[in-house]
Amino acid sequence: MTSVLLVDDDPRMQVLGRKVLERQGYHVVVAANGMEAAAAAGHERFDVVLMDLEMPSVNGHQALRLIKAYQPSLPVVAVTAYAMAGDSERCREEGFDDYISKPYDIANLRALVARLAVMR
Amino acid sequence: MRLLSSRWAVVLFFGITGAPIVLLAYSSITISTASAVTAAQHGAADSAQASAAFIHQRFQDVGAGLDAFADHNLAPAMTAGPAGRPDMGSLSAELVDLTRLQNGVSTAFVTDPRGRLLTVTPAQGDLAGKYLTGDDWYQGVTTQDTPFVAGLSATGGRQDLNAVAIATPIHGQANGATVRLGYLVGLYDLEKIQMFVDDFSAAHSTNLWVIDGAGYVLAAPGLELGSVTSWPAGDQLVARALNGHPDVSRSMRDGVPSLSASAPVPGFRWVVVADVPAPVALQGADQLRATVIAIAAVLGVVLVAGLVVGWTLVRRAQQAAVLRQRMEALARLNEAASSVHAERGPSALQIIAVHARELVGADFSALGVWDAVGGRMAPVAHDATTGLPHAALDDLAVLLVERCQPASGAHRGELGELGVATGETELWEVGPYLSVPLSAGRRVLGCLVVCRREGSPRFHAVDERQLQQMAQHATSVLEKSRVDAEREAFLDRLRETNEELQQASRLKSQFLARMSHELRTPLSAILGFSDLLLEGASGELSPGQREDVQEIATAGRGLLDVLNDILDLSRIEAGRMRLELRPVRLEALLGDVASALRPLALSKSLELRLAVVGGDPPVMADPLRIRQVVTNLVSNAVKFTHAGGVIVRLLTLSREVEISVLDTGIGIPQEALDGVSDEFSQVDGGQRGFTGTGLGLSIARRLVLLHQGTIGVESEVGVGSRFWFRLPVATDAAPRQLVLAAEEGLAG
Repeated sequence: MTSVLLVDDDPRMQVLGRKVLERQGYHVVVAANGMEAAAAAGHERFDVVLMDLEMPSVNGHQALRLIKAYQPSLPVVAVTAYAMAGDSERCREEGFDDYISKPYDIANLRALVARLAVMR
Repeated sequence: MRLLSSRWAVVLFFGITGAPIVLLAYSSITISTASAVTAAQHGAADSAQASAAFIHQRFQDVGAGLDAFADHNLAPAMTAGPAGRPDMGSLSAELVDLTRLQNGVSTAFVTDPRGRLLTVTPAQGDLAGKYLTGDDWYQGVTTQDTPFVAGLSATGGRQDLNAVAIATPIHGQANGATVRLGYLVGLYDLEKIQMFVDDFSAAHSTNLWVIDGAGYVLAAPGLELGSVTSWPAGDQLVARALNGHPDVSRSMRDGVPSLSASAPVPGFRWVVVADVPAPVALQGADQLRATVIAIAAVLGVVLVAGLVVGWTLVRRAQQAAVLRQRMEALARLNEAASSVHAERGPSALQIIAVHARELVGADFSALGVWDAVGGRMAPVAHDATTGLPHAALDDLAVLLVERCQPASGAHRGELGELGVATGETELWEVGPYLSVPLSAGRRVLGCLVVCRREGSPRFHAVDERQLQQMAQHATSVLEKSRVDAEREAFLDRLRETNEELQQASRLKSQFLARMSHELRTPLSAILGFSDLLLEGASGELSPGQREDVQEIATAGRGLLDVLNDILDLSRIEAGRMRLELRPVRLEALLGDVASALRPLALSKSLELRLAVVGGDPPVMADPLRIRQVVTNLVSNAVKFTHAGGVIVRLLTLSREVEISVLDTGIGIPQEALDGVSDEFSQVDGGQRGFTGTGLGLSIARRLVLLHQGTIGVESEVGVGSRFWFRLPVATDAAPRQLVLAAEEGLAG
């Protein structure tokens, strides 16, 4: 079963993401910040990580480095409300495997996760 | 060489060379005149003495002739007559022979020893038998028994003044003894003397006068026989000669200055005067004088010419020297100027101080700048000749610029009691100084002071001019420094302002990013949960609920559009929009937009169609932005059209391509048309019941303008609207980037 690590500090987004993905039949683990995300990724095997960027303590950028240091092949997707021009490119350059801006279309999110999970 | 000394040299030269020439000429003329006079006088004396001797000799000769004739020819005749008496016939014949033979004797007669006239030839009858014992000759001859030349005056009457009687006794033998038989007297014609005088005058340019003791002129140049002329009485020349002393003198003769000499005729009271006319005597001297004057004149001319040439050469040399000095000074100034201009600020001022000192040959130079804050002249540069102690120079510069700063204009002077110690006891004291102001307009920026050691030559006007030129350089350096400083200050302010602006811009960008982020996060929840509800994640919705949730989702998306528009607009406003211009054919692009929006149109039962008229030439455009513009226009058209359709038309004009979006919508009132594309303008949206499109139109207008295009709208209420824009056809195929600003990075 496809397992998704959902990282977001906003409880509403945690709920929304969990519901959107679980309705699709994915296993969803939620982390509220980068530190929890890195810890979760160390404990459990995930197929996709959906990473918010701006979070307290360890943010998305730092968490990306922590995760990629041990699991370079684990797809990490930037899910962010930073949707200015060029943000997508910068995220890909930084090492994110993909980028989706908030507010996202729930169909698009599901399609993205499905595609990355299949590739894995 | 100075001008004054060269003048003196000329005077000296004239004196040394001209004076001897003048002296030589003068003395030659004087000496030659004197010697000519002397020579003439000697000549006159010789002439007089020779003539006197000649006359005397002549009478002696005639006397001797007569004596011989008397004794040989007449003596026999004296006793040839009866009873030893004179034979008168023979006597007459002999006398005729005598007058014929003896030159100058034209008349002769014989007397008996008692003086009775026996015969005379030429015959003069009335004289026969007359006793002539009263005559001078008789007195003379009877006393001396030798030929006697008688004077004339005693013969009585000046009418007889045409001959000289020369008498000689006639000796015969009687009883073995010599006895006087009688006397022979020959009258020697004075004409012969006159002839001699004439000949002499012609031969020697010397006039002879023969004067007797009574002052009568016996012979004279051109004198006619028989005429009676008297020598001026009291003439010392004649008087001294009569006393046996020859003499010379100057005299006027017939109005001609003459040099005269006199000589007594021996045996007579006769005097011969010889005259040499001065013009003749001085002829040689005159010639000499003329020659000397001519030579002196030539020498003078040569001298003057030489002087002129020499003077000219000296002047030229002086001028050349002055010119050379000026050139050198100019070269030094240029060198100074170029080295000054190569530097700026303090180092340039130091160079000026060095050059100023060297230029005028000073021992020390100081350049002071007016310190407005301190209210005093402060030295900024100084330079000293070798030998001055370096340690004390700063103090010397301070004192010098304070003491010598010019009130106005340059000034020169002597300064005492200011110096520096160069050794234990020795003191280097300032003497002559020269100070010029550094002034820009009326402001005094500073001063340039040079000085020499006490006892050195003072500074001159030339030094002042040169120093002033250096001062001008210094002034321009100071002015340049001031301008540079002002420019630096201005640039600093500009940089600060720019920094502030950039800071503000950064803050604005951060704010926009933050705002965007903060709005998107709740919107994510709104839209996400709406979609979940619509999906039936929380159970199937009733039709009413579905409609309400749909409204929430639509409103949320509308808010997202507004947010995106705001970001776009602020990017354009801030000049941060980047256009990737390249040749684009628009047909495909328009087709994509139409396809994307067709579902929306179909949902309102509207037709959405694309029409292409006149080909599809490429235009220079950023496809993403043109797509945004077209999307905006078409979605607006769809929004405001309730029946009919929307046509997207591509029309090729001569140099432009026109894209029109035509609809059959509600139209726009004429009075509102002008403001349609203004920022945030919204045409009575409430009435129509649609969300506003102001931002979208504003963005569309600005993007088209960024493409160097034009945009416009035509509309009629109730009929429809046509929104159009035109883009220039691409003239070259090279893509280029129209960078309007760098994009901002991600925050956080």
